[in-house]
Amino acid sequence: MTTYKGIKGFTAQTLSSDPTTASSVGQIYYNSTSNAFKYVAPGAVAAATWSSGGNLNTARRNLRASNFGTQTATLAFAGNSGPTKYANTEKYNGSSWTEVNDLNTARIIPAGAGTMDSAICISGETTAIVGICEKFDGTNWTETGDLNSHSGRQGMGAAGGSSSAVVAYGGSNTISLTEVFDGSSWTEVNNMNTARASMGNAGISTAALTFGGATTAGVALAESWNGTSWTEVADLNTARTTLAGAGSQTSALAFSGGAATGTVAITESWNGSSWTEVADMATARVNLAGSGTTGTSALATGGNTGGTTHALTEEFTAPDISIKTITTS
Amino acid sequence: MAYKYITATNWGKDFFTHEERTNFYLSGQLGNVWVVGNNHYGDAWIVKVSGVSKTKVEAQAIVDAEVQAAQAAWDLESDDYKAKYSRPTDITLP
Repeated sequence: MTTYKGIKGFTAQTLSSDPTTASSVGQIYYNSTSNAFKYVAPGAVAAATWSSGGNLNTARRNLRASNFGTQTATLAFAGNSGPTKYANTEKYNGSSWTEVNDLNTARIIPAGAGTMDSAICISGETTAIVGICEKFDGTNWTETGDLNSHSGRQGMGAAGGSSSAVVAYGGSNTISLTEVFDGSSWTEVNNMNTARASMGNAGISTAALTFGGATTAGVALAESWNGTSWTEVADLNTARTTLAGAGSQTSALAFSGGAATGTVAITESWNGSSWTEVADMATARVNLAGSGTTGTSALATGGNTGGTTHALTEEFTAPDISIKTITTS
Repeated sequence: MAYKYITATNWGKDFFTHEERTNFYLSGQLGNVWVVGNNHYGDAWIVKVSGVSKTKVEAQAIVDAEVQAAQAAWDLESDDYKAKYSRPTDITLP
């Protein structure tokens, strides 16, 4: 039997503003403010974008961040602008950066790991490359055990969920050394498969991911660390160096960097098995710092484009939902 | 014309939002030049940030001047510096 509902269907509800909660996924509605039919799709990293965050108080390149910080709690430290090397340290609260106590030793291109209040600054360059490491407890930096091997390691990678559980690796096109830190001393463990420097990094000391970087030129290689050994995994789509990274071993982001075509704003998302290009950053740059615990929420700060050193911060966020406008074309 | 060209200073948080990035193309360049998607969302953003309109030629000239200054500075650096850092490359606006 024919029914009215069968012929006419349901009346789409009218809303004056778009829904904002995940519980509305699947809903079709008429938006009376924008005069358009819309529906609510699931959010995803594919729908993510970069927005502007608060500017650093001190613009700099070759800085580092607590790699396992969040969009609302991250530490940035070290770096340079021209010949001036900084010990400056800043905390981010989701909207602005606040200067806190400096590193004991100013430097550029250290490795960085941990969280905002439990971070570590590893090695780096003063007038020469140093093995000095410092731990941050939320208030002060304190020197801790030096790396076993620091000579020639410029642009080392690191990952760690705190200042007392860290893995640091690579640092030049001839050094694939890997060392783990237990809170007081470093121990050499199995090497990376491919020696390189200036990678993007993600994860923690027992489950890390490193990608890109430079051998004699920018590479697309990626390797996964399981706490014991490194395994090669799928390459980035765009080979590049001096990029930044964020996230975990199974959900990560690679962003910006220097590619064969120049400085790029390209962002790639890692789902545990492959890389997919997602939304570009607004400002392409190199020598920036990245932070974040997942591939759906990250922070990028500082860096440079050509000779211009940035204070700029960008925040990557994948929405819970995605509003789609229904068109007739 | 796919893009508009402006200069505007990025003040930080909410200079551009996630929603704005969803609605129009946006690319920050040297010299505070911004390449903005040519639609009404982009137009609204230009008003929001008090963007100063430029022609593409004018915008490219601003970027070129920044790049050339950086290249000149690099040319004066030591061989050690040049071995570590590559010379700034030219940028062509879309």
